[in-house]
Amino acid sequence: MGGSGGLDSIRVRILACIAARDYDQAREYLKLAANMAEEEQARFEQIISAAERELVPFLEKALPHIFRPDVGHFAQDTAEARELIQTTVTEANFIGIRAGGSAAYQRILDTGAQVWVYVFDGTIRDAGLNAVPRTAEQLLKSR
Amino acid sequence: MTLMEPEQAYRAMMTFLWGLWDRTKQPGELGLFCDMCSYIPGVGTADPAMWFDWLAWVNKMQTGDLVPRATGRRGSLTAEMMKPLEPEQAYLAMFAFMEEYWEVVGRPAEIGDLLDQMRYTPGTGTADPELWKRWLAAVEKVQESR
Repeated sequence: MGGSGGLDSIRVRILACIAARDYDQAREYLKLAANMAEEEQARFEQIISAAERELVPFLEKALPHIFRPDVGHFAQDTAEARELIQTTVTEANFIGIRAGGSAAYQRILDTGAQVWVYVFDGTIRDAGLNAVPRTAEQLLKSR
Repeated sequence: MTLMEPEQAYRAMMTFLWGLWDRTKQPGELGLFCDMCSYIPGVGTADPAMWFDWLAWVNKMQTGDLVPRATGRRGSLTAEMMKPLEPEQAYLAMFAFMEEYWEVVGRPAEIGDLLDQMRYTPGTGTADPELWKRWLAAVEKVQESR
């Protein structure tokens, strides 16, 4: 399969396989995507792997809000950034439920930066990276 | 009512929005938005970029120029660069700030419905007249707590 139409078709098939939890087939389709940029291939591999590990997924519509080159955010939607965010959503990193109903998670990386994540209704709705970590109290304070 | 500094106008916005959320207290898109926007003086907003998005819309109301989002340029805005706001100007900045978020996250219905009620026409007021009264009450509350 070649061209952008072919790639679009592969993207759809990969996502359908992930939804059907057929991860081996999703990887087979990914192998067919020879024209896909390396970065996007890595991102799809991470998406398949994250689904396989049953990590909390992103809400697709929230991605333009989450990944942007603005203060406190990951500038780009990369496999590495997704992995950092999704692996922060664990029981050990849970800090509480905020006033509006979102669940807050945080962890400090070896670099000293803080990954913060807000989960709502089973999906990641907001997340980013604070160069200067905030306290759990600050992350939870809503009003 | 007197003019508000951008930080004070932001607090009025949050008083207004939490007040709307309190009507139902149902977890949903408005509660999530309020969570993201919640503000701690001296620290910033829960989602750090929301403060700078706010300043971008305040600046737009005052100068006509919108610093585009997702360019990294909004981070250079400061409240000190802005002039104090009239309650009406602050309301329009709030509306535009919310509308931008709504557009970016795929137009969630709950916020879309709220924006429909909040829509403001100079000389006429908000589509739902009750919301303008609530806004003025929020402004007054914040000004009293100065």
